[in-house]
Amino acid sequence: MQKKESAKKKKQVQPASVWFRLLSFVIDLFIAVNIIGWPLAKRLSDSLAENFHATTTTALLALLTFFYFVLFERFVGATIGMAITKISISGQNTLSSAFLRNCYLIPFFPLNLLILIEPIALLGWKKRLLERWTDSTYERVVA
Amino acid sequence: MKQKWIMASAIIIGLFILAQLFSLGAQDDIKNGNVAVIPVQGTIVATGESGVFQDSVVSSDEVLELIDKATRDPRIKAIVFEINSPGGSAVASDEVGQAIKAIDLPTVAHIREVGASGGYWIASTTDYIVANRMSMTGSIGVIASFLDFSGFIERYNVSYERFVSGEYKDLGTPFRKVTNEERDIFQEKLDMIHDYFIQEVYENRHLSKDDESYELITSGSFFLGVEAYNLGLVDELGGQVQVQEHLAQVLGEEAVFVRFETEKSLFDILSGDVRISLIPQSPLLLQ
Repeated sequence: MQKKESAKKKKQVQPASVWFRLLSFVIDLFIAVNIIGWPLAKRLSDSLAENFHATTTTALLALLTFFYFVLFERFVGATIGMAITKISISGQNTLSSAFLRNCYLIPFFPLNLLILIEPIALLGWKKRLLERWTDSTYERVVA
Repeated sequence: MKQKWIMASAIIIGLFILAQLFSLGAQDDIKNGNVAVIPVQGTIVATGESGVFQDSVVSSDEVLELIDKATRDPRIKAIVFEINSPGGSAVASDEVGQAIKAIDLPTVAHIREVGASGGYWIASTTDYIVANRMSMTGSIGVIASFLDFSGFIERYNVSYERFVSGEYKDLGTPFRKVTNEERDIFQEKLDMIHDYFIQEVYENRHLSKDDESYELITSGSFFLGVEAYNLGLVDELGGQVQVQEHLAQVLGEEAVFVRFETEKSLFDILSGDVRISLIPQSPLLLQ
């Protein structure tokens, strides 16, 4: 028991680098769109193949991705991609903060503009704008 | 740890069920209709070149692809070409025109604001043309132009060193004056394209070249919809309602429109309203 606790204490964390975060995001996107969202993704590809407008399907798929991030971050503490890349959230992690932190995935104006702003903020400040607002940080275990 | 696994599994299952429900709810994406509406809007070019610094363009590649999709769709019984174009490349207009002629279904051209030159060439290949009475149409002529920079470079003491193999290889270069002979060559090519254009329109519209209106129609002048109607260049004056009524008559059932369009990329959407024309395009334009 004591050993376990001392090992826990030794864990060193630091803000996750942009590359690890990108890798984690790509993994999550793949899971959310191609595995969990498979019924919608199939409908989307069918619609596009037949040249029909797929605005509704695209929006629903984006919403599903949004729920994936919110629920995993809030109730599991990390998404699957984050768990693989050893990233976790520190700071505020309530349902409302998870909602706010991921609202860039909501495909409606003006929230959809955040999808352009967030990467710029991440590159500039090493932290997304919504992370700053929700007072939370994505950290990675390094040792 | 075990609790996290349970929670993660519950979220995955829950979201998958939600995706299924969303999928059923997204049925409205597949629109039902029996008449395909294909927009032909902007300058007609052969391949897509739209961008921030260019006018709105429509490529023949894009229109041909949409025609192919519409004709392969078993629900589609007629095709409407919604034309709003001042013309463009002769080759691209001809490509679209030939593709329309090969369609087995009834076709209608709906000229809204402008259906001139290459735009009219395309319209003439359809079975029926409906135009707004104030729309601009006709303009059956060919234009070619380029800027002559020879005076400009001379003023700045820059000379054009000409190395050609083949006397007319640099025909149309903006760095020297065009000779009379070269002018004749250009004119000859333009006249040839003009002849093709006239021939196409007269054949498609079943007009007679002996008619007294021949000179006027082929002068390159544009006509208002109402004038074009009187000259036999359009079949009916009106808009979407008239197109719908005509098709209902032809098909013997209600005409329900479904738009066939190419999906726009995020960049297209963002740059859509700030397009300006800076660079003159292809020298041989039906504009």
